[in-house]
Amino acid sequence: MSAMAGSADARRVTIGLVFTVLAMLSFVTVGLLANHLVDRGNLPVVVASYEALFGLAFTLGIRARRLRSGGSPVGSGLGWMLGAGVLFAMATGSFYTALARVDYSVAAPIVGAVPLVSYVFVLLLLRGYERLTPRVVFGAMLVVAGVGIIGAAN
Amino acid sequence: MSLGILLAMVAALGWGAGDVLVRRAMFTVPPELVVVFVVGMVATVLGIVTISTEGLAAFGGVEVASLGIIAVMGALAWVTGNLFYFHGLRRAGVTLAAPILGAGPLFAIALAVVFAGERPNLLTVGGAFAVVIGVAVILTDRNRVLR
Repeated sequence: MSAMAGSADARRVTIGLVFTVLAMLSFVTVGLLANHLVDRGNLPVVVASYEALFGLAFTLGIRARRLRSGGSPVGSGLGWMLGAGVLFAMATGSFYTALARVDYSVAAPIVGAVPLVSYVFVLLLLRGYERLTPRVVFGAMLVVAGVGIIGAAN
Repeated sequence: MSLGILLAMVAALGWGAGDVLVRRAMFTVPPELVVVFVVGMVATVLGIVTISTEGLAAFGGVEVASLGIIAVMGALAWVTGNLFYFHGLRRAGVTLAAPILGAGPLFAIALAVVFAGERPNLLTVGGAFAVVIGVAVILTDRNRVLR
């Protein structure tokens, strides 16, 4: 029984990782396109604003049917979502403005430090839900160091 | 330190903290609804910042071709990007998903090699090796997600 539960958990995590890899590929492409646009003189905050507006239109389109049918209760998640929205707005605006001042090959490796920032907030907000093992912290530090080396080399 | 690097660090802080808040929200709200709320909030905040710093006219100064590219960016960032990432966060947890996302620059280098014909130097190959080993170390430890 526990073996079946373990197998289901492994499948869930694997599917989650596949989603994450696809997201990573999308974000890298977005970063390169944003770099192209701000290098051509477009205002970074305007690019970020339009991107969010298009994103809102697309995600609303996908979600429209469920929203019309009553949707899901938001409940205690509202505050977390609003906070995340403000942080993502700050991050996107800052990153695109950074791209107007430094090369993508310099800015992108700095954003590679996101896992370490997340781990600090995991300790603060997700204690009891996710564990930070020494092995994971070591792996994340290798990723950050590797991305830093790539940035320094380019 | 240049302002550009400082802004990139602010971006890392925002995305790193935001990921954890999103994961917390998804305890009670499905990812599709979270992404709509978050992108709505991002559009509102950035819209206010743009209007207050550059004026409403700034929205009219974008070429149609650029708007097309931004539309593609909107789909990539919020549908195949954040929507997929939020599903990934929900299933794999922040501790597993965040480092995978952090390895993005490795993919950017791969793109430069394949499509731009760039030849990476030894330091780049060493950095890429560290990223691959780091991701492998993380992926082989899957017992941290409790919920």
